[in-house]
Amino acid sequence: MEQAHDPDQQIAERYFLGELDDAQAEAFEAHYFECSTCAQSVVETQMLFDGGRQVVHPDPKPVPLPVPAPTPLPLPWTWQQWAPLAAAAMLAVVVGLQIIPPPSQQQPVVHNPEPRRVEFSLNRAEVTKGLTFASGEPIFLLVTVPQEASVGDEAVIRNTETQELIPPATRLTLEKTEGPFFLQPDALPAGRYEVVIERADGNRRTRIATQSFEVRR
Amino acid sequence: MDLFSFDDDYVRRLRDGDRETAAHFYSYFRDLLYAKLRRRLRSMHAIEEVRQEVFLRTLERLGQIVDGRKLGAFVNSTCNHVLMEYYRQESRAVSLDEQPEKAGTTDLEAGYDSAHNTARVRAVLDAMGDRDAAILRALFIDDVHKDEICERYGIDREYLRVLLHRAKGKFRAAFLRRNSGRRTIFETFGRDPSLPK
Repeated sequence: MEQAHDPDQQIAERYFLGELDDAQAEAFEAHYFECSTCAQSVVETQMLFDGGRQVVHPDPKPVPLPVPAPTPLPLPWTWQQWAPLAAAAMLAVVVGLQIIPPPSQQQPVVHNPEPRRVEFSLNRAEVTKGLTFASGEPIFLLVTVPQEASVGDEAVIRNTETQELIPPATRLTLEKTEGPFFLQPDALPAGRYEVVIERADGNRRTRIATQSFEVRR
Repeated sequence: MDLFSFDDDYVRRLRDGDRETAAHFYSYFRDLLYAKLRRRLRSMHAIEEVRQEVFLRTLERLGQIVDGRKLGAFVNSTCNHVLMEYYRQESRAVSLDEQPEKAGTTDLEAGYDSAHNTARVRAVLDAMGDRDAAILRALFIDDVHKDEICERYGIDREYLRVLLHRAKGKFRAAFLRRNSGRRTIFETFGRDPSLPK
């Protein structure tokens, strides 16, 4: 395990990212129990992950996560499908967030450097429970795909007052129904919003599930 | 990097019940065992159960250690044995359709004083670019698969690894800044009681 000392090999990082097979992981474990250099690297990486989990799970009593399937989680969305969302989000930031009201109406931004992580559990009810964010607070949503959803359904975030999609005109097509996916619409102006899973049938759209949330001033 | 190495004298003091040595021993291996067990066990309760058993059994069998320099290997080997017994015990006690409930992240961190860690990680994220910080945040969510993160952000696993490596470097720097000086392995793991005071 001499390569463990080579910073270019980044063995500790590979270990924590699950990139070592069982034999390699066991060999690395046998090594770092004897090597204080690698032991420190492991401890530091562990501390980074533990601290990071606290950052993204700031609620001391978060809603329990769904038990993941034994196999790696599927990828509900392809990169190509996310590209418009990412591009639109970046464009919105760059051009000054056109979706935000003019400065006279704009609410003061509450500085919160850490996005809240919220798990959505969608069902047929229009509103199952309210979720509230502060204006300017980065929004980080972990969405659990409802049982009623099918491949081909679409997910949107919509301002319920203006019916505008967030980001504008962005729809995400569900490729798989297993496993959660996350949405980062970034900070939103005050208002009421909803995450909607819709099914398209020609020009008609059926709402499969919704989850509302509110952004307060 | 300061190195710490075990020796026969350390094992002797441990066997003699020297409190400082025992505290150092526990401090040194606590996090290493946690890192190893976390890969294999799903609940903090199980991790803690196995870890305590490893400590107990190691201390009971210190007399079997021929070469004090191999104390780390002995602890790791003991851990492997305890794990095997735990698996066997669990397979008898739990039917296949009764998988143990996965511990929430909060449970897993419950045994740790992580306030300073969290603050340092926030400092690390603040020092990163927005995109890299977002990638790291996604990485810290257990349920999001690494491949999904790569696909989402149009990066490969090497970028993810390098990003983690850079973050760790900043994390270490934050560690050093907070302590206003060079942080040694002894400060991380607890002072080596064999050193002169």
